[in-house]
Amino acid sequence: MRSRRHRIQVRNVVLVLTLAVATGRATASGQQAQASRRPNAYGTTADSAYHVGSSEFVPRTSGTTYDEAFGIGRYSSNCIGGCLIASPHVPDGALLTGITGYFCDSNATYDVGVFVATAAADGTGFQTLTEVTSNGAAQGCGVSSFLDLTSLNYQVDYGSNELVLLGDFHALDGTVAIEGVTLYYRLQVSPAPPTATFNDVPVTDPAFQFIEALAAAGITAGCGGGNYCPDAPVTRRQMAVYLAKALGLQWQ
Amino acid sequence: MMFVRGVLSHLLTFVAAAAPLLAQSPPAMTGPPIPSTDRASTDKIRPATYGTSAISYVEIPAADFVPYNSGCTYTSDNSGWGPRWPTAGNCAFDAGLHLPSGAIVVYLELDFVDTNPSDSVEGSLLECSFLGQNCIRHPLAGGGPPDCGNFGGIICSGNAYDLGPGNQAVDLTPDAIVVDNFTKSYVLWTGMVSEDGSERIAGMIVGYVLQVSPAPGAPTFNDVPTSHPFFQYVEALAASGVTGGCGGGNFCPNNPITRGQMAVFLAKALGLQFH
Repeated sequence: MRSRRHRIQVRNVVLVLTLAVATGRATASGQQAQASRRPNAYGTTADSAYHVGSSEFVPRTSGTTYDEAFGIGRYSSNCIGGCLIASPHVPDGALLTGITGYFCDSNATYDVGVFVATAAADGTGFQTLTEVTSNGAAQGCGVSSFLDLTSLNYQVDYGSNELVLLGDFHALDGTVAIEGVTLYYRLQVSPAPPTATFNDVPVTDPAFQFIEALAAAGITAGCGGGNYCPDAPVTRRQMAVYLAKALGLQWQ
Repeated sequence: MMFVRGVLSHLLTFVAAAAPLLAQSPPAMTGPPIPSTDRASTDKIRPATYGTSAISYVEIPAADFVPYNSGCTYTSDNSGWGPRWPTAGNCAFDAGLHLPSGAIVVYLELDFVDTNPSDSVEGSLLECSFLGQNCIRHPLAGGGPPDCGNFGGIICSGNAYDLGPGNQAVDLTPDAIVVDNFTKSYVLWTGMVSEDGSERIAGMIVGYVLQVSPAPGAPTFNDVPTSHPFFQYVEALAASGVTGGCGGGNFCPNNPITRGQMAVFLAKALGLQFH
């Protein structure tokens, strides 16, 4: 374990950040080994991967200079922390489960990293969730330690915060550069609301949370009379309506 | 055709501030220039992003393409999707591409303006390792139009396409690009030589088809063996956490489903969220 302190200045708010870089890469390799069994960004137990490449890190202000060498990554030549920014478009409500950074670091003294931060919708500034770094040891281009983010228990909430990635360069000569970041996340179903929509699905029903989620999404309006009929069988006709509405199916 | 990515240190000028207004621009605009063509009215928007037979299309307009380095200055105009071109700094532009895991990329289109008799606008889909040193450029030689060399793309050198506004498309099905977001990254790249506006990138379009994961080797449920006709699909639901079966290590594939169970399937499958 190593601890360092960073300062990044963001919208006149100076955040002092303490970070602890975890060691161990077993989880990261495990994620990739199971990728073929983890289909799309669906289901609430399978992790999905969202990779943000170097080309998606763009200047936060027009005074920021940056460059990129093909296969080496992107770096800023005049700004240390938080100047190149990227938006990972993780689905709303998803739980962040991990992050891996890909860096090129040929500098024996200084590291490079990426902050994961939230940006408040009211413009009051960033809050750092974590940082993944080249961890000093990586000379040349390589993958960082996998950081398990499940302990953060952070669920994306675009209703109040944007999720952003901020480049953190400790050298400005191109000896440290970002190749990309992979965020791992897991979909979640919204928590059950306090009151029931349907007469026959009270808050104590084992499927209450899920039926409420369908009702809130407009996938079902129930079976009439303020009821959902949770124990009635589904016909193939009804199945078609469920799926077509759920997916918003389109054709031309 | 090669593009040199030199180390230059100009200020980046955002297109919103720099784009010149054309004479026919709508009056009384307070924000950035609005493209004169309504993108939603084109026939290229087909939001069929579900199912395993429909082609889904994602558009990456010019505005999403950013220079490799801040030494590149660029601008755009008000036509179409706001075609963008470099004005100085030996530019190349690229944009990240995000597609669902498992999807097969079947289509790639470059939209451009090219009135330059000497050079062409180029574009490619780069399929890269996360460290970027091992990119496969699509279309592959033989899989599409002729290969132009190191950073050639859909449109090769020569004057055949120097006809003004237009688009060029390639069927990427032969390339068999299966999206893998756990080990690969995808970048759209475009470049042009001239810096006088005679070559402009208007955007790129990527088409893909969703797929269900192939069947695994061993079954999860006792009553859905590998020989079961719906084995692949039941396994896909189990692997995604959409179902845990009906108890006792079984899935009960022939049981009818209740409306309550249907709600659990769908809510878990989609990770339904509401505020």
